[in-house]
Amino acid sequence: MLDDATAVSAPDEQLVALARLGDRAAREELCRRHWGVAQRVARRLLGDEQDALDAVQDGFLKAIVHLDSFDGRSGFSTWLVRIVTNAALDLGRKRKRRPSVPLVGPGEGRGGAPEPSVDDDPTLGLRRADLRRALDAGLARLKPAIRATFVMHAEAGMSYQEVADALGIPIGTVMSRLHFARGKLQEHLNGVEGL
Amino acid sequence: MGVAMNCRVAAESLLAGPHEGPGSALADHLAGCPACASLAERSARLDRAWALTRPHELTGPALDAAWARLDAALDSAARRPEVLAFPGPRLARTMPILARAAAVLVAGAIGLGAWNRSPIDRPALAESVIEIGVGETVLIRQAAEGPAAERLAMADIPDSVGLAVDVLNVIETLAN
Repeated sequence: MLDDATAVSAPDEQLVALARLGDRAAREELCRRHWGVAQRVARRLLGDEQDALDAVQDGFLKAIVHLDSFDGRSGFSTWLVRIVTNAALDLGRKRKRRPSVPLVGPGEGRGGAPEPSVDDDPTLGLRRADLRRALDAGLARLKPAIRATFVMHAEAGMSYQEVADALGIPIGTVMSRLHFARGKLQEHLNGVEGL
Repeated sequence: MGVAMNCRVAAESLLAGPHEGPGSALADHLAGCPACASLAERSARLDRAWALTRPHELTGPALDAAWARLDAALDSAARRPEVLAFPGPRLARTMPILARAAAVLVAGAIGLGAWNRSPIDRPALAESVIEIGVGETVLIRQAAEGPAAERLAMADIPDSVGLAVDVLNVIETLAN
């Protein structure tokens, strides 16, 4: 069994091996380590904070229960993002996308994670809200497969090859989807001030 | 002195976004190409907007609470493992749909064969042409207005994008 201090410094591969054996500390560290990227991806895909949390929890649940199917060909984060993406898309199909409702006030993030300060520029919070609405609207109009491709690359930082492997599509299709998505999102930013 | 970049390569570099950023060859090209410079500016606006709207992440007590919920759900799932369906590969998830579609088509063909042998008068067949591109997965269903196709794979791409798709695929082929 890992103690908490050892778990924090252990590489993903070691944590996965221990988690497969039922090590709770290893599972917890895997979740804490990768929760952020999973949450950002789900939030971009769903446009809603609470739905994103539900999708992340569902994705982590499936990932850990089925950890034996992780073959190590990709990184754990890449594998997890694929599962969370599928969970988010499934959830999105079940629930109609609805406008994002901020769960916190301007300048404070959930769980004590503050957004960048707007003290220096009082209009920054409003501009950021406008931008978020425009991008959410643009993402909502993309077909799920294209949205997932773009978010995996732009938010999770996955390479073309990693996205192609995760989605089971040719790398040329990844590039064409990215090109299409960027064009559509750029259209949605037309007229948005402050960029 | 390096080889000058052309518009196709410049567009590909811009497509890569901020993660795989431009080199000096791209900067040189943009300085002398207003069309690509405009494309670069639109691309940069998107990148700035994306960065400014980066979703925040759970930390501290909120992350503790999320882990506690997940841990409890894992305990529950351990007692009822059958409730979790693993999201398998796309093909595996699509196969049941395709199998159903195939079954419907086979049943239709069998029925049509039997019907063709019937001597009684019959109404004219409704016909429909459904174009299916290479690599597309299509579910054919009977709609009120006649046969209709549901595209299960990537959506139609406008003609204006088609050229870019071809260019990018050619670039990929050459790179390989």
